[in-house]
Amino acid sequence: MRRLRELENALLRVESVVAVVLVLVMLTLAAYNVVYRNVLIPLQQHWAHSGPPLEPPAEPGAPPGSAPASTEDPEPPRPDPVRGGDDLEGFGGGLSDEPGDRDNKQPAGAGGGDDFGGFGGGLDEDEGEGEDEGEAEDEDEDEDGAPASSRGLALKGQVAGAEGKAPAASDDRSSDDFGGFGGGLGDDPPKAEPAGGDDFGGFGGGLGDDPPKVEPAGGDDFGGFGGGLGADQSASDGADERVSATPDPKVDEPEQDDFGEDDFGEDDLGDDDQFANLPDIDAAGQQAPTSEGPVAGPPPEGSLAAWAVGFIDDIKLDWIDVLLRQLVIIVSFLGAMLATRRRKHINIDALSKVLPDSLRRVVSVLTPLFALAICLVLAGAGWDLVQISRQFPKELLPFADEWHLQLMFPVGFGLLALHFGLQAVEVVMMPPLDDDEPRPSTVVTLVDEEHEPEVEAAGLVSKHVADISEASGELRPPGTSGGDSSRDSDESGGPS
Amino acid sequence: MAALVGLLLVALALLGAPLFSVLGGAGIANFSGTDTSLVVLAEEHYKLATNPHLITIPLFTLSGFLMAESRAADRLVRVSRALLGWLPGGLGIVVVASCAFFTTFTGASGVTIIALGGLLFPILTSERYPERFSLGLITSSGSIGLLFPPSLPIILYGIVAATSIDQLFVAGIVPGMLFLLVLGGFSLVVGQKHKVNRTPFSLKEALGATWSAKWELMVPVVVIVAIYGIPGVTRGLVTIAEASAICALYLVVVEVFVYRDIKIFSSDPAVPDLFKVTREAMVMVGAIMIILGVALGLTNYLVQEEVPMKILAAIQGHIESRTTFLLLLTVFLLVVGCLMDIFSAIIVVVPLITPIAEQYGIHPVHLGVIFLANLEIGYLTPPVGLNLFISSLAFERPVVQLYRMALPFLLLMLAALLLITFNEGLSLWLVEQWAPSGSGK
Repeated sequence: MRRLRELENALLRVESVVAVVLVLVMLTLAAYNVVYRNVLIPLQQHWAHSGPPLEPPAEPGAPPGSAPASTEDPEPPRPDPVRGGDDLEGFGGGLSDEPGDRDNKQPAGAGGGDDFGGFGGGLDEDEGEGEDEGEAEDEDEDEDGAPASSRGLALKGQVAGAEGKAPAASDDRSSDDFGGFGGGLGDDPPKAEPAGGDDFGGFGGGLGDDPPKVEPAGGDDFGGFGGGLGADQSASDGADERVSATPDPKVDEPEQDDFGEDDFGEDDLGDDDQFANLPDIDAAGQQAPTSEGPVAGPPPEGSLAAWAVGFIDDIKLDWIDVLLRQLVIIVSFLGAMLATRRRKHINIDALSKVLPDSLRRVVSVLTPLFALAICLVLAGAGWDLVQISRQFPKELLPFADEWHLQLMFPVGFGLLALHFGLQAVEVVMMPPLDDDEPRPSTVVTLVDEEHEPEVEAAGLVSKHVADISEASGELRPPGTSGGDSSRDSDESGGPS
Repeated sequence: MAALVGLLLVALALLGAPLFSVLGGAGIANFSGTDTSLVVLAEEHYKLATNPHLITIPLFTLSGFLMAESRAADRLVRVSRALLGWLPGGLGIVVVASCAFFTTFTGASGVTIIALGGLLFPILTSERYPERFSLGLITSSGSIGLLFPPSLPIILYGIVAATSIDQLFVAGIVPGMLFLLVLGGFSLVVGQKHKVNRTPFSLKEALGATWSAKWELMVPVVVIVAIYGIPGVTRGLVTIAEASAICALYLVVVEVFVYRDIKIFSSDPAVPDLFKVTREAMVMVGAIMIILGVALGLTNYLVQEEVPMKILAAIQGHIESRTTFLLLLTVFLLVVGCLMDIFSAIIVVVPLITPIAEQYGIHPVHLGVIFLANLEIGYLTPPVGLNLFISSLAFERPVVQLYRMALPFLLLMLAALLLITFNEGLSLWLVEQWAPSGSGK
C-alpha cells in the first residue's frame, strides 16, 4: 500500500513538473508569436518597402482584394490565388478580418495553395496529386474545373479569418483536407485536392467516397468542432464513412482553418529567396490602411534592410501554433491526472450523500473503477488512432510526426486509468477506521494546501457541490477522507 | 438494452462518477452500437488541436489564478470602496463591482465568494448592513461577472457553439451591466432604508487606492483594447489567442515582479509561487478540457444521429412561438444551471440547443448571452446552486438559511434575465457598434 502511494506521489510530482514546464513553454512560444506577428512583421513590412519607389505594380495599386491573385507569384503560371491566400494567412493571421484578406477570398481561383504540396507523396497514390510541388497539383486542378473553384472557396474559408465559419467556405474546405502538412498547417487544405475523392484516396483508398466532399455546409454549422463532425455526419452513409473517415486525422487539419479565426496563422513559405514572400508581406501590410503613395520597392540587394527582411523570415517558426495547440491538450491530460488525485474532477454528485455509509463506500470504489474502465477503452481508441497515423505519417512539427503527438491519447488515458485504479485500491485498502491514524499529517497538509485558500477555492470552482460538502467534512465517505488528505500531504510535502 | 445502459450511466453520474467518464461511456456505448470504430472518439478529441482559440483556455485560467492567488482582491476592494463607498448603499455597490471584476477573470467558480467574501462580509456588517442582506449579496455577486470579457465561460461557449468569440465578448457587456445595475440599485435601496454608514469620499484615498491597484485595473483595458482597439481611433491589434498570451504574461510580470505577491519559487507550501499557481490552474484546465475532449465524441454521435433535429421535431408541434420557446429554454437552463457547473453545462448542453434555437430564429450571439445569463443565475437556484453551497461553507451557515437570504436577489436577477432574453437589442446593439465584422454566421 505504502509502495503504491509512493509510486503515485512520484508520478504526480513528475506530472505536475511536466505540466508546469509545458505551460511555461507555452507562454514563451505564444509570446514569441505575438511579438513576431505584431512587431517584427510590421517592421519587416516597413523595410521591405524601404527601397526606391517602384512603378506601382498592378497589384498594390488595385484594391487590396484583387492584389493577391496577380501578385503572388513570381512565377506567373500558377493559378495562385490560393497560394496568396495561404501566405496571407500565414502572415496576416491576426489580421484576418481586415479587408485585405477578405478580398483575397474572392479569387476563387485555382488552388495555388498547393505549392506546398502535401506531403504526401506517399499518400497520393491516386493521381499524383499529392505532389509536393504546387505545379503538379495545379495541373490537377485545372483539369477539374469544379474542384478548383471549390478550392478557391476553401481558401476563402481559410483566409476568412474571423469568419472562419463562413459556410460556403467550409464546405469546400472539407474537400481538401488532406493535405499534408506542408510547412504550416494552414495550407493543407489546398493541397488536398479539391476533387476530394481522389485525394482522399491517398489516404484512404478505402475511403473512396470522400466524405469530406460530400460534406455539406451542415458540418460547419455545427460548428464547433465541426469540420470533422460535419464530415462524418454529412456523409450520407454514416457508418461506412465514418470508418473511412477515421483514418485520416489529417482531415482535421483543414479545420484549423475553419476555425481559423485569426489566430496565429502559419505560413509556409519555405522560401530561399528573401523576397519571395514580399507579396505576403504586402498582403499583410494591406491591413494597415496604407496610405503610402507610391509603393516603394524592395530594398537594394545586400542592404541592411534587405538583410533584416530576410532575417525576420529566417526566425519565423511556423510550427509554433501547431505545437501550442498540441501542448494545450497534453497539458490538459496532465491536469486531469492531477485532478484525479485531488478528486477535482467535475461530477454531479447528487445521490451519494443520501446513501448510507456502507453503500457510499461501495460507490466510492465503483465510480473510480468505472472511470478506469472508460479510460482504458479510450486509451485503446487513442492507440488505434496512433496506429492509423503511423501508417500515414505526417510531419506535424519539424521534429515530430503527428503520431508522436497522438501518443498523448493512449499515454494520457492510460495514466488516468492508473490513477483511478490507485484511487479505488486506496479506498478498498483503507479501513474506515483508519481515518484517525493519518490525521496528524492530514492536518498539517490541509493547512498546507489550504494556506492557499484561493487555490482551494478555485478547485471548488470546477468542482461540484458534492466536493464542497465533502470538504466540509461531515459528508465525506469515511474511506476516502483519510487517504485523500494524507496523500495530499505526501504530495505537497514531497516536491517542495 | 440501450435504455439500460442509459440508466446505468445516469445512475453513475448521480453517484459521483467523474462527468468525463460518464460522457465517455455514453460515447462508447453509442458508437459500439454502430459499425463505426471507436477510433472516432480519439479522433474527435484530437480535433480540439485544430481550434485556434483552444489556447485561451489555459492562458486565461492561469491569469485568473494569478489574480486570485495574489492580493488583488484586497486592492480591488480598496479601490472600489474609495471610489464608490460614499454613495448611499455604496458598500453594497462596492461588493457588486469588485466581485464582478474578480469573477470575470476567475471564471465564476466560487473563488470570488471565498476570496472576496471573507474580506467584504465583516466590512458590510460593521457598517450596519443587515446580515441577511450582506450574505445574500455576496452569494449572488459570486457569479455576476461572467458575462464580461474575457471570462472563461464565454470562451468555452464560443468554442463549443462555434460562435464568434469576438462578438460574444462584446455582446455580454450590456447584459452584464444590467445585472450590476439591478444588484447595485437594490443595495442602494437597502442602504437608504437601514441608514447604513457611508465612507466619506476622499480624493487622496481614491487616488492612492487606484494607484496601488493600477496594474490590475489595467488588465481589462489592455485585453479589450488589444482585441478591439479604440473605437474610431485604432482597430484591434491582436487576436483573442494572442490577447490571452499577453494577459497571462502581463499578470505574471505584475504579480511576480511588481507586487511580488507570488514568488518565483518558494519551498514553503503556504506561500504561493509560480509553480503552485500554475499547477492548480492546470488542474482546473484539465478537469474542464478532459470533459470537452471526451464530449466531442458524443457530440459527434448526436450530430450523426441528428438528435437535435429529432428533439426539434418533437417539440415543434407543441411550441410554436419564439416566446414560448425562450421561456421554456429559460426554465430548462435554470434547471441545468443548478444541477451542473457552468463548464460542463456548456459542453454538454450547447451542442443540443444551438441548432434548435436557430430554427426559432434566435441570433447565435444572443443565444450565447441568454445561455450564460441563465447559468449565472443557476448558481443561485435552490436546491443545489453552487454559490449557495460555497457560501454556506465559507460563512458557516446552513444552506437552507442561504436559500432564503438569496431569494430576493434571485428574483431580481430573474427579472433582469427576462429583460435580457426578450430584448435581443441589449446584447446585439453593442456588437453592431463594435464588432460587426467578427460575424460567424
